[in-house]
Amino acid sequence: MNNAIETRSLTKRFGKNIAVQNLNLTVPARSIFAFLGPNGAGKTTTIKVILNIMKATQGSSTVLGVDSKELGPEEFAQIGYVSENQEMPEWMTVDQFLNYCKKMYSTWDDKFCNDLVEQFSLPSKQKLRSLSRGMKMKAALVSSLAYRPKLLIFDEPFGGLDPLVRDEFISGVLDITESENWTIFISSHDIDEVERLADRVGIIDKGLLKLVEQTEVLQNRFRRIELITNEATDIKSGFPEEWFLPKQQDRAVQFVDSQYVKGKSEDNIREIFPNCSNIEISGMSLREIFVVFAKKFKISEL
Amino acid sequence: MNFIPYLFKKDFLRIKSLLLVWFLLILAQSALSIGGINLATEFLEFQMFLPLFTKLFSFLQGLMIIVIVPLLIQDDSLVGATAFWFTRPISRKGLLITKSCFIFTLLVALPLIAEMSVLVTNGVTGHRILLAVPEILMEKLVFIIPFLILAILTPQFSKYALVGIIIFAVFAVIVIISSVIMMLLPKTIKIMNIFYNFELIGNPSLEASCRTAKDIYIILIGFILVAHQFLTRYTARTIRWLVVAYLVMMCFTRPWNWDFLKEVPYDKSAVNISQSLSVGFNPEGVIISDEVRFRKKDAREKSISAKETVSGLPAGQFAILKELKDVKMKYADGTTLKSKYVSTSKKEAFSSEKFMPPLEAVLGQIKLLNPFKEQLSYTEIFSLEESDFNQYRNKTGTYLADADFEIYKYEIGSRVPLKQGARDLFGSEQIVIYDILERPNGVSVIIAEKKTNLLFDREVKKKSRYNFARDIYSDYNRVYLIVNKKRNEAFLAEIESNLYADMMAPFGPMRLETKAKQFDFTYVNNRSGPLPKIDKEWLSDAELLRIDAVKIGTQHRTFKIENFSLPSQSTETTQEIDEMDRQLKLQDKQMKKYYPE
Repeated sequence: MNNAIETRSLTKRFGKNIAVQNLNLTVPARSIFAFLGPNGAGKTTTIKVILNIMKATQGSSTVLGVDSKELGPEEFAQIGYVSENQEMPEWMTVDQFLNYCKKMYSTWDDKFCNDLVEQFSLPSKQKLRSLSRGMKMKAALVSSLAYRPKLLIFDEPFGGLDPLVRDEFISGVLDITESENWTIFISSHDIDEVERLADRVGIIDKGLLKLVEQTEVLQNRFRRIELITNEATDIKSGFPEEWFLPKQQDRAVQFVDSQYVKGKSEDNIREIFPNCSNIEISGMSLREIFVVFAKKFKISEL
Repeated sequence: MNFIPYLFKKDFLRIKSLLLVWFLLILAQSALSIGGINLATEFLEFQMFLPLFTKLFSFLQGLMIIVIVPLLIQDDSLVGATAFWFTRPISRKGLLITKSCFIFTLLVALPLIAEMSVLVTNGVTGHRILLAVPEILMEKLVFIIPFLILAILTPQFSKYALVGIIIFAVFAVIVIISSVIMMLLPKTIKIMNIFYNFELIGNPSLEASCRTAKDIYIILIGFILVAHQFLTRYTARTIRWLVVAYLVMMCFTRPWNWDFLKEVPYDKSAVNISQSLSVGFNPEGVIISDEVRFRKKDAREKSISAKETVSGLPAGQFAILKELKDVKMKYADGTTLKSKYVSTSKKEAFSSEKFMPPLEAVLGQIKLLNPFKEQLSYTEIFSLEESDFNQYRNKTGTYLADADFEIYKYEIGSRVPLKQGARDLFGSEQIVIYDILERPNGVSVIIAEKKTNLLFDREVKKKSRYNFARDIYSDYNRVYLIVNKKRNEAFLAEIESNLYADMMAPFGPMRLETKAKQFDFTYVNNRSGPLPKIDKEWLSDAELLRIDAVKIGTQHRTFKIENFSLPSQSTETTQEIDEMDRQLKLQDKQMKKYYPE
């Protein structure tokens, strides 16, 4: 099994509204995939269809090589799922909750579970309903990690978490995935948080997948270019398609190169702006790249 | 891995406090059903409250089910997209089995065992206890299933409660509106006939058969819908199926006429119903009274009542006038005056002189020392508007009416030695003598009457769920006597006091009716000279006899009274009509008005 998740022309409609449209997505095994998009883009719906919580209107998907419609206890024993929307048996104490979950998994690792409880400083005797949102998410995370799942799916795991808890959460996930080599599929509208985790990103908006790429490749090929020309130039003529969002103010020109290749891109710039001086090339964060996409393709901003 | 026991344990822990209350309620109700009658006969202050408590406990148990079922189901909700179990290795089938086992063991089997224990402790036979099992199972499941279906189709308790209240309100509004329409516009009854099966109202066994078929259907369809929702979670499809199933149920119960629970008829071959029965009434003793008007705009009406006479029945039999139909007066000039509906309902307390000959017939050699001398009560024979009455009074004609009679005979139902603790088990009933209290002028006997009303017991007359309150009067078809066989002497109970009666559950008759009664037998205030003393010696050889009036058939006769005239005023000195008769007549008229045949 090379791909942990695969979708083929996946479509989900709610009446006349299309939540996910013709989605073709591949999440390679052992990757950390960030599924990004603004609120209402279709991220949660995609996950729910993939996990057979909702039925697809059209298309199909597989998880760990099994058709989503056929997912049963055997497959769910290898999948960890943490969502901000997931209901929890709130009447249980943390201990009762973890014990209840333990009975479901033959691979449950008590020591690992205890370490996680300690690491996240979870109060074992307290009822889930009396815990803060962050603590509840941690408890959900422990219950989804302690059996060492092959695939971890996080649906908006940072919602309502304060920065300190987010850091703890991300560090925890990073520590674990480094050692365990699991596949992680994380959906979020918070690019800054995901940037540290993801090795692949997918961007979805209004149900349509806009981009899927390795984070490193994406960040390597996007550069912000700023230059000064000696005389005023009309940037509209002869501007390559891969240069996004050009801006001009007097002799200053700014744009984003979406296909940056060291050396070759500089030559290209000089060819188009022969009288330019002082070319400044800077790297971009995932957020900045997404903003470029948002403006270029009229995606709602995150 | 078999995860069912863990899920079961989880659910148990989830609602353990409610289950404790549930368990205590069952325990309390069982304790009352077993010991309530003893308490009530020992401590008079409990007489009124104990039956109320059994009803309250029964009602609270229903309420607990309404709360427990959704909490149990919605802890692992079947609708929405956020339930915890959706992404855990819990199989849908496993969840269905767990929840079904939970409901069956704790909400069905537990009360079943409790009720069986009550039946055993009350001396009900094994055969009847077995007959009670399917009935109890059916009753519990039919109560649970609507709430179960509502719970599987709603994600949280708040929505469950809201949807439940809305459905209840809609049904209540429909019933109220249709009742008001039927009351104000009696002609719409024909339209309502499309939806309601009025045939069931006057036929308890047919009603029970229809209800049983409906219950079995509800259980089967309910389980299919629940299983479908658990296994597929296609909520919209489950709702569609539910609506279709409801409509199908309405369709097949509307024309229902398969009376598979009809009671075993009395062996008529053993009884000779006289064909020479002749009927009439005493035209000398007639009462004229004003009918009660329900609305001011209703015309004033007069009611004419008389005492009917029946002769020609063999010894031991007696007739009760059930219905007078097609009542009219024909006059020589060819005019016919038709009566409005007349009600023959009356409290026949079996304590008037009319019933003494058949009672003495069943006693044979035994002499009844204190026969009743009460006069017969009146029967309404004609009803007409006041204007017609004024026009036709004193005008001679022929009175005609078709009459249906029920023919009865007395049979010895039970015979118990007059000893404290003595018990007689007969058919679905038992009599236990609790206490014998000797008094200066006689003796008082306190007994417990216990009766099972089982759906599948074909020897027992079914009780209507629509009119079960009327069964309160069922006591009037029996009399109690004490008999000394050595002396061939018998005394009728002159005063019968109800000490305790637990007969009705919140939604219908109880499976096990228990009553405590006190009978006072007196030898001093007799009307026909000195009577033998009811003393220790007399009582030492005595037994308590219950004599039941058993219906053995019906007869149709025509009243035809020549030269009869509606008198201008009552020919009896008293115009006082027994108040109970009057009330019953009014009820009967109302019923007839809303549910004509």
